[in-house]
Amino acid sequence: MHRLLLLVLGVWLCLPFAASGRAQTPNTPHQHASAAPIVDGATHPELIPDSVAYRLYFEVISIGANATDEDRKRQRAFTGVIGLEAEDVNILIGILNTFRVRHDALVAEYNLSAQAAADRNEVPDTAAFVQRLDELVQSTRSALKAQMSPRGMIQFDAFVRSEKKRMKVQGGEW
Amino acid sequence: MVRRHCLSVLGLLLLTLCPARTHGQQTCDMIPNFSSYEAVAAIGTTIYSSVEVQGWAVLMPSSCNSSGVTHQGAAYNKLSTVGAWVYGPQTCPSCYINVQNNQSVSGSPTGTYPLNWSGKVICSRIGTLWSTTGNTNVTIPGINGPDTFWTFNGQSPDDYNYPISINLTSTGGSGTTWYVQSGADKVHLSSTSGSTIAVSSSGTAFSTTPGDIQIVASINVGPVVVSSAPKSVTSRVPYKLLPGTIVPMCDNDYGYKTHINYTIYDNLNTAMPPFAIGVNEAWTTGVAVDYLGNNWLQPRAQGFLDTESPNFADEITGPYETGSTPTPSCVGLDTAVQHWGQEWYVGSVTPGVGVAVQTDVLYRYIDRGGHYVIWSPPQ
Repeated sequence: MHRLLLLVLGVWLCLPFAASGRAQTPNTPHQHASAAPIVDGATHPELIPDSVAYRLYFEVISIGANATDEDRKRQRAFTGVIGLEAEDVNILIGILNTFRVRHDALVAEYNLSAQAAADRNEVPDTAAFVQRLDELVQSTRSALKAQMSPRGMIQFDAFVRSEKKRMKVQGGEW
Repeated sequence: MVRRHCLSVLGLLLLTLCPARTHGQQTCDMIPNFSSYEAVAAIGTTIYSSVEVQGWAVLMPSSCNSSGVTHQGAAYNKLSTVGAWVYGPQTCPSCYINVQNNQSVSGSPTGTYPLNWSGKVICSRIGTLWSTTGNTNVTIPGINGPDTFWTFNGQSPDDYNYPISINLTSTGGSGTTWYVQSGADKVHLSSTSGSTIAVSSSGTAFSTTPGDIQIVASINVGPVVVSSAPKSVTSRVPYKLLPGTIVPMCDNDYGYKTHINYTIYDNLNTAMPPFAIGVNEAWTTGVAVDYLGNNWLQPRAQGFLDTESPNFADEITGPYETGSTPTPSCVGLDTAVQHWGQEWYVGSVTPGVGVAVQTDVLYRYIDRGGHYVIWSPPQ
C-alpha cells in the first residue's frame, strides 16, 4: 500500500515536468517570472524614470552615420515639434547623433558579451550594462545643457517629460 | 513479491523524469525589462510615426542556463494604410533588443489618419512574454493667414497694405498650441493657444531674409502631438533711403527749387510697396548761419502722404519772402546761406513720428539746396 502511494505521488509530481521536458532543452527550465506591471505613461507618467524616458527618446530620435535623407527628414519632423529655435535644433541633432554612435557601440559590445555568456550557460552582467547606458544618457543630457540655450533646454526637458505619456515601461532594472 | 518490485521500479523511473527534483536544478526566472515608445510628427504634409521596442530580460539566478533560448523583439506601426510588423533578430534572452519601425504617409491639413501600434517580445520557449498596443487618429493642423507684417514704431498707417498685425488661424481649432520655431526675437504672439492668434513685431528685431520667422501650430490628438508645417512670415520695417537724382529748377516765387529724390527701402533691402505711406521730416538742430547777415527764415518741417511710394523727393527752395538777404537766384551763386540737422521718418505725416530712416544736414545755398553728411539708416 505504501509503495502504491509512492507511485501515485511520483506520477503526480513528475507529470508536469515530464511533459514540459519534452518541449524544452532538458537542462533549461525557463519561465516568465512574476514581473512588475507595465507602467502606462499615459496614466502614470510620474512612474517612468527620467533615465528611461530620455533613453527611449534619444533612441527614437537619433540617427546613425548611414542615415538616409528620409531619416533626416524624420528627425527634423520629430525635433521640430519641440518648439526650439533653429540653432538649438541643430545642436540637439548633432549631440543626438553622437549619442547614437556611442549607444550602438555600447549595445553591440554588450550583446556580444551576453551571447557569449549564454553560450557558456552563464548570465551576463546586465547591471553593469544598464549603468553604462544610464551614464551615456546622462552625459548626453549634460552635453545638451552645456550647448543649448537655457530657454531651449527648459523647453527640451519639458518636452521629453511630456513624451512619457507615449511610453510604456516594464521592469525595475532601470 | 514480484508485483511489489514492479511498482517500486516504476516509481523510481518516473522520479528520474523530473529533472528539477532529481538533479537539484533550479527553475530560471526571466524578468522582463522592456519598454515601448511611439512618436508621431508631421513636417509639411508628411506624417512620420516611429514605434520602438527596446529592453532586455534578466535571468535569475545567475547560474541559470538559457542555452538555446532566444528572444525576438517586434514593433508594429501602421499609419493610415501603410506599415506592418517589423521583427528584430533573434537574440539571447539577456541581449539588448532595440527594434524600430518607421512609417510615413503624405497627408493633407484637416485629413485624419489612423495610427495603430504594438510592440512585443517573443521568447522561443514560452511565446510572447511582453506586449503592448495602442491607437490614435492623427490630424495635421494647417495655418491660414497672411505672411507679412510691418512695424512703424507704434504707427499704423494702412491696416490693409501695411498691416502691423496679422491673424493666423489653425485648422486644428481651439485646442491649438502655437510656438515660434525660428526668429522668436522678431515676433510677438498675442497668445500661445487658441484657434486664432495675432502676430506682430517684437519691435526690437526684424527679418533679415524673407520668411525667416517660422510659426508652428500643434494639436494634441489623444496622446499624440502633431504639428503643422511651419508658417513662414516676414517682419518688415522701413529701413533706409536710397538717394536718386537731384533736380535743380528755377522758380519765380522762391528763386529756385531743388528736388532731391529718394527711394524708401525696407529691412530686406527691398523697395517699399507702391502703396501710399506717410513720410515726414523733422529738424534735429537749430539753424546754423553760413552767410552772415542773412535773414532767411527756417521753414517748418513737413509731413506728407507719399502717393508715389516707394519714391519721394525733398523739395528745398529759397525763401518765399520778398526782401530776403541774400536774394535767392536760380544759377550761378553757389554760396551756402544756412544749414540744420534733418531726420526723415516713414509711417506718419506728423514730423518726427514713425520709423527714422535717414539723418543728414540740410543746406540752403543762394541758388540751390542740398543734403550732406547723410546717414541712412541713421546711426
